[in-house]
Amino acid sequence: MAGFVHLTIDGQGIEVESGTPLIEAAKQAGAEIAHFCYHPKLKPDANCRMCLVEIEKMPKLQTSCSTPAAEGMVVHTASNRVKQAQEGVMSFLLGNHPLDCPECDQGGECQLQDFAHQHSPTLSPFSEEKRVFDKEYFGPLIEKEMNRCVSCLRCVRYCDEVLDVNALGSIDRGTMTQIGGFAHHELDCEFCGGCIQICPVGALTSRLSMYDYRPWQVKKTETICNYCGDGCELTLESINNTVVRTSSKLGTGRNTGDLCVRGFFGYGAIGHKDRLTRPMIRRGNHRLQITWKGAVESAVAALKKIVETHGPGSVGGVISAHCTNEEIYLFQKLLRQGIGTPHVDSSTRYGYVNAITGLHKVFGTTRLARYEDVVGADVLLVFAGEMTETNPIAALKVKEAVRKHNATLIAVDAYTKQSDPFRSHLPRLAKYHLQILQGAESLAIVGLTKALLENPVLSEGDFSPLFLEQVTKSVALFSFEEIHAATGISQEAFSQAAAAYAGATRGVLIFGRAITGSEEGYINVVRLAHLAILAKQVGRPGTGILALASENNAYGAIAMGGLPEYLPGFSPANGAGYTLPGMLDACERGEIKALYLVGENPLRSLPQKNVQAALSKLDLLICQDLFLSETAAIAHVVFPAVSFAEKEGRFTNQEGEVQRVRKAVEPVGNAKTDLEIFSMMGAAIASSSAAGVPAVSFDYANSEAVWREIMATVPDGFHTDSAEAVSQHVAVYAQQAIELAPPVVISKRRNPDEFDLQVGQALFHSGRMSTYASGLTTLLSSAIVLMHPSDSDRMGVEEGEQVTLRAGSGTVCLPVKTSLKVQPGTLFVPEHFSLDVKRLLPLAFDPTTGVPYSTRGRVTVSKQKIS
Amino acid sequence: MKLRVLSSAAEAAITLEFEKYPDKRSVLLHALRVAQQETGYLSEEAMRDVATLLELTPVQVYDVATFYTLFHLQPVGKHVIYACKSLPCALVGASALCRHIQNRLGVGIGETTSDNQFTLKQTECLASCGSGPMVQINDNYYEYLTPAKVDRLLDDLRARGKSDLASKPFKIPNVTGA
Ligand code: SF4
Ligand code: SF4
Ligand code: SF4
Ligand code: FES
Ligand code: FES
Repeated sequence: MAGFVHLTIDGQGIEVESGTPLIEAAKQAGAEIAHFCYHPKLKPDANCRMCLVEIEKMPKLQTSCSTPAAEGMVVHTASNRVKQAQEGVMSFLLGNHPLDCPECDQGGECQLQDFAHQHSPTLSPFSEEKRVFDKEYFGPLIEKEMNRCVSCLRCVRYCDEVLDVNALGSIDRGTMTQIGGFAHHELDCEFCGGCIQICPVGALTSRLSMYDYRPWQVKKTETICNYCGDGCELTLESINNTVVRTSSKLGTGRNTGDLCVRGFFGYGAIGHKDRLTRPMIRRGNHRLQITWKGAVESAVAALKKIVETHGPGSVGGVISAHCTNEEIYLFQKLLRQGIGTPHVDSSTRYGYVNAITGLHKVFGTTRLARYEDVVGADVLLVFAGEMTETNPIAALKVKEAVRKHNATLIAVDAYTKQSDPFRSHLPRLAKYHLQILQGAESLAIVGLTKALLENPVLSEGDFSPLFLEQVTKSVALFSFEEIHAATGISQEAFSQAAAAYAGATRGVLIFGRAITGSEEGYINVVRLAHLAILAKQVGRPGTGILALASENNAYGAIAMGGLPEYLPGFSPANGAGYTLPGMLDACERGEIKALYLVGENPLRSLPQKNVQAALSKLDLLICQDLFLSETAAIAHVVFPAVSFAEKEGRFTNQEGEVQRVRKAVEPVGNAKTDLEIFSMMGAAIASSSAAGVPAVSFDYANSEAVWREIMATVPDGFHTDSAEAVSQHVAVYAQQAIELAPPVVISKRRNPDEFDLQVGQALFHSGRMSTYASGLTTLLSSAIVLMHPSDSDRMGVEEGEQVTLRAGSGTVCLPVKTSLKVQPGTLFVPEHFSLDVKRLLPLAFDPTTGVPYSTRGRVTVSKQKIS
Repeated sequence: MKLRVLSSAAEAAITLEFEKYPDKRSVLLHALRVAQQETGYLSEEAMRDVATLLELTPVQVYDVATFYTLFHLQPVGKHVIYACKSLPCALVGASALCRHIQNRLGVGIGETTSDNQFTLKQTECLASCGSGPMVQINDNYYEYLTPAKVDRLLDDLRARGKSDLASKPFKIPNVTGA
């Protein structure tokens, strides 16, 4: 589409894509043009005048950041006129700058320092007083030093154009213009750190690492963030074996250099003082620290005894999807081959497994859309109103599609369209927002499907009659009136949204925990897959489906066989293995005698189930973790493991992208990587196995050796499946009988004291791990309940006031935070802190996948009596 | 949407403009003027209300409000004096005149007299450079000022609320003689 133009820069002929700004063209020709306000991520603003160049036949100098290269241009970037102009700009900037480089954290990586070195006149023509701003803080994490600001507005523009948060403004005027928040208040934003990273000077820096480093002293390690499935590349910067800062490089990684608050400010968990540093075993009511050798020997001796008495099927294991591919592979090998039990599961059981198994069944693969497809889509159908919180960087891709490329966003979720000030919120950008009642996802999908089928133009296509018949039958159970009553969405709204989606040239469907982690998760994934097939938005380049993962290696955990359904590489297992809830039941029945938990803490994640009783029946509970979790505290053996920053390996993100994890710091104390621990366990088991049983080798030099074995075992495990392969698989699928249970209709709330409660992820946290990061706990350190202002007004509840949530016999008191995002009549509580709130919620299990659902329920709310 | 301080009349005056522009943000200056007229100055609550109506973040409103000297972020007196400080006026004694006003009123720049009669602000060129030093007070210009004239006009304003020293409406001189 885009043509090329030819021009001459500093005497050198060059060809660039038309539309390229001169500053980029010059870079390609080897000339770096000094600049401040220009940034490749942002629209040109041309406010700093530093990038002036001389273009022949143009009387005045031009800003190269905002002038596109044109055919035949002759450009000079270093003529005397240019130099003079740049020195002039520099004099103005330095005339006001405090020149406090020795104590500035930006020193050594500052564009003002660098460009001043080249472009500053030796003598300043100014003798005026410098402007001096009153000291202000930008909240607990961001240091603001406005005397250093060069007013380039990169921070303001980034927060607007990329984040869609708009927390920053250029306030006051004239000489005293500065960057600030509303009425000089501290910031209350998403704290992504993007403004810090994009500021060319030391005006915005991190308070978390003030004065801790000089940029050239840190060791930089490029690795992958472990806080969600987005799979962002980040740089861990360490000094003396301590991570002092994280950053990201412009344009690199799946995140193209953007990070969220967890990636940027969440590194504090790595070296936390509460980390486990030595193996421990339980003796009576005491935990004793012992050597690795002793711990492994005692674990294996106990395991051996159990296997001898009760058979290998009396052992089960569950691993966290935070571990690397190599580790998860080795764990399932240890259990399946080393011990011989089929009972292997992972934390993907909390919901993501629904996405993978459902999509896999229909399409034969789950790698159906990449971020490039999201950014390039013309229509996005998003069943993830909470995407900014759960998957912030994937959400940036949606924002980019809508704000930069005018994509049409259809959002289906139980949030309002409004956002709180200084928080981005996808429904706000939606052209069609289907604001459904909580729990009405399944009927909303049915509504969209029904609307699609009833649209004669859109529904025509080359579908198998059997498939059409079955899907039509499955949505015929409900009339649009009934669907309207249950979802709150009219037939017209469904028709418009369905027409927009099916009319897309490149339509991408995205769904997250609202689908996978909530009732009917598995079947809803299948329903969505059908919807995408009917709308013909899958199996063509640019179209597809993206299932959001909360955990960094959720996809990998499944691809590596970390679940009873699949062996490594998605090959079906024999089906005899228990899922995590199944294992807990088997513990309770006395069938499973030994449980090996890696980074898993069921006492916390399933507080409603009688996990304590089940675990107390075990003869052996092994916990391998970074911290002494609730479950580890009752374990017989505790192995101290290491964080992602202390190991090598690979994570696979939610797109199916395999990425390298690199070691930045040495393990704390005597902690070891999961890989080393599994190798030790495997070796000990192999050496103790009875004569005649072929020993399985667990002798690996490093994670690379494991990876080589994985690649040899499952050569196709990671390959992208082509559009043709998907279409073929769908064709076969469409000839089969499909089982589609009718959707469940949620009962209406009966009175105004009744609320729908959703427990879920907060932006500032990820699981439990993030609560050890001081940067993140500064922002949120205990549970709150979000309530719509219309409800708090009606109940006469003030911001911060405690209310009592009640369900059945249980109650929980939490302080109220009003939020425009939650619907009137619904409440949201972050899941990271109080266990009690989860106890208010019912626990149900998916009939197909066994996924435990426990994030939604109904509660009554009352003002707490002041006693 | 519940507003904090703006009346429903102000809300209507603001939302009525929406259809004239491609987006709501374009109505910002008008909205701020309505808000200031109604509440006397742009309090944080008033700016938050404007943000709510225009679907902006509060700082997007604050950004614009702090740019214009005609918007007041603090309560102001009955008469707001904008003293020009740009070069042509400065060459004919604007700084001394401004100091005189300060002494006379007993306030600094940006401050309001204790009887809430006068607020003094300094501003850039008011396009009356040929007749400096000059000030604008509320909607009137006062030109060719001297300390004595300033004393008189301040007395007038305090006593009667107006002064005949105010410039007459400006007419474009008929230079063609037609
Ligand atoms: S959200 Fe906050 S941290 Fe991120 S760019 Fe905006 S102001 Fe900066
Ligand atoms: S704070 Fe930094 S990024 Fe923002 S305007 Fe100032 S110099 Fe530019
Ligand atoms: S938490 Fe997720 S979105 Fe945030 S930096 Fe890490 S991987 Fe990226
Ligand atoms: S970089 Fe071009 S004007 Fe600032
Ligand atoms: S300089 Fe004072 S009015 Fe122009």
